Amino acid sequence: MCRYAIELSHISFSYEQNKILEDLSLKVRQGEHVGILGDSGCGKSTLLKLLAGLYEADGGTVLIAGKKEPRRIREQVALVMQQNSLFPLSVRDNISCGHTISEKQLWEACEGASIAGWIASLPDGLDTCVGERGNQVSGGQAQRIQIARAICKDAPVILLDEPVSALDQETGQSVLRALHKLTAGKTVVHVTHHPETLGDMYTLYHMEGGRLTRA
Amino acid sequence: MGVIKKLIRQHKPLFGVAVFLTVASVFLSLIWNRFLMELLDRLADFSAFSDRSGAAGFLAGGIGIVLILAFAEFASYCMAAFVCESFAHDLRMGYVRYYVRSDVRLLSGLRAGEEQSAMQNELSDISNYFRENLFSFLKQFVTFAVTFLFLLHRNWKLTLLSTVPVFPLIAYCFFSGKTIKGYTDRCQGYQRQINGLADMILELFPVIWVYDAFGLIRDSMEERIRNWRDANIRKEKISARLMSLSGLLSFVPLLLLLGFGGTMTARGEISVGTFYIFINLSGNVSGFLQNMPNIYAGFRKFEASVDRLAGRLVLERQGEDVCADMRSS
Repeated sequence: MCRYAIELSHISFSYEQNKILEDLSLKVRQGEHVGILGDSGCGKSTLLKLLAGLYEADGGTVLIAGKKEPRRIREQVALVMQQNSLFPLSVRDNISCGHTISEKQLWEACEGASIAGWIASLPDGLDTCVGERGNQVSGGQAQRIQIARAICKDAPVILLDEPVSALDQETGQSVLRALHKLTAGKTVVHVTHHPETLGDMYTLYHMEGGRLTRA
Repeated sequence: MGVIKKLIRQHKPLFGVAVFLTVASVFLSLIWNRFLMELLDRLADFSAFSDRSGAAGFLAGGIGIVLILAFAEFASYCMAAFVCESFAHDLRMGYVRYYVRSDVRLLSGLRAGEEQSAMQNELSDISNYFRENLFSFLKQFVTFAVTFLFLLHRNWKLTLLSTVPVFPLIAYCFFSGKTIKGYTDRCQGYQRQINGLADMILELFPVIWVYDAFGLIRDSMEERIRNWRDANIRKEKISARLMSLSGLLSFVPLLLLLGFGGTMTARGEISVGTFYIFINLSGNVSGFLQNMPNIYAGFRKFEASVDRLAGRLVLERQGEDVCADMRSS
């Protein structure tokens, strides 16, 4: 078993001529929670996409749970994004993403994300359609569905991209509580503008000019 | 239909000239038919052309009518095309103006691909309708009204005989047009779903990749395409059935006209020229009525497209912005 869940060594990444990340290195231990802060356009989301195996670095090495190949990396991570990240399909499809998952597992994931009660109250339950761009559900419910999706995947690394930034404070707090359940015992990288949404257990980094510095 | 009224108001002089030319060409066409009727009657009466100078004057009059008719038709087509293109241009600019002047918060919530696709589909539907139907329907309607009055004046019995059987068809056409509209709307709804899903794929690619949701998206897209295809097939089948019956029934007035009109001519109750003009022109009356399902279905489709677009148009008139959201009018 690797000591580090995430190992980035001398990573560089550019969009055509525009250098986004330069000689970036980061090591995150198993179960460690890392918060990455920084202004818009500083490369936080690009870093998250590299960690998710969606982009390949121009230089350097990305190792997630000891895996190097992007396809293998993607198997090791779960992602919770900002709002509007739901498919225009049923709650069930949004959580299972088309994979065969038992009814029991689905309800457990819903319990973990604190939406089981709400789903049970719906006439069609898990088969309720969330509508185009999730317009049939509230922002908080949409985020909880994403959390349930991540719980179902049970990946060792959780990547969070501003998961509560579009929510009001009260809803944001309740979604954060659901996130705590999801992230317990997992390795977490949480990208945000708002340090107040990160708990005490987070090791904070500041991103500027394509490099990370300990905050 | 507030958008159309507004466009007409914005191009009042052009539209007026185009309407005038369209109406003029209808009247000239009627005068030409009246001339042919006269010619046939004179030919039937062999002594009518014994006076050579009278005959030359008569034929010269005919040539004059044809030349003026040809010019009026040409001018009418040119003017109609110009007006339709001006309308389409105003719509395109109105759509662009709406986005340029929209609030940034509204714009940031939009899906560019979906909006662009909607704009292209709706605007091309509306522009095509303008080009192909606006003045063509106006001409058909004026031709119908003028011809009906003219035929009624020539022989009211024969006119009613060829027209009255068409009226039950109108009810049928109304029903079929409404049915086709329902199916067309359903097809458009499924098409919108396909566009929405395609747009969502681009936006949610990280989720699709990380959660390996390719199968889910493929199945969902296939289901939507299948629904759209089935709805289209259903629509085409229903349209074909309704239209074919309408086509079959459309022969009834002509058969009645041939039977009764032929008998009246043989008995000498009407002249050969009159019989000819009835056969030649009755189609303008019955044809218009029988063509109602097409006109109605086309119009409903056009109306639906205009209504969908109405809230997203800013039509400008003399420095003043007029938001054309006039669904209620």
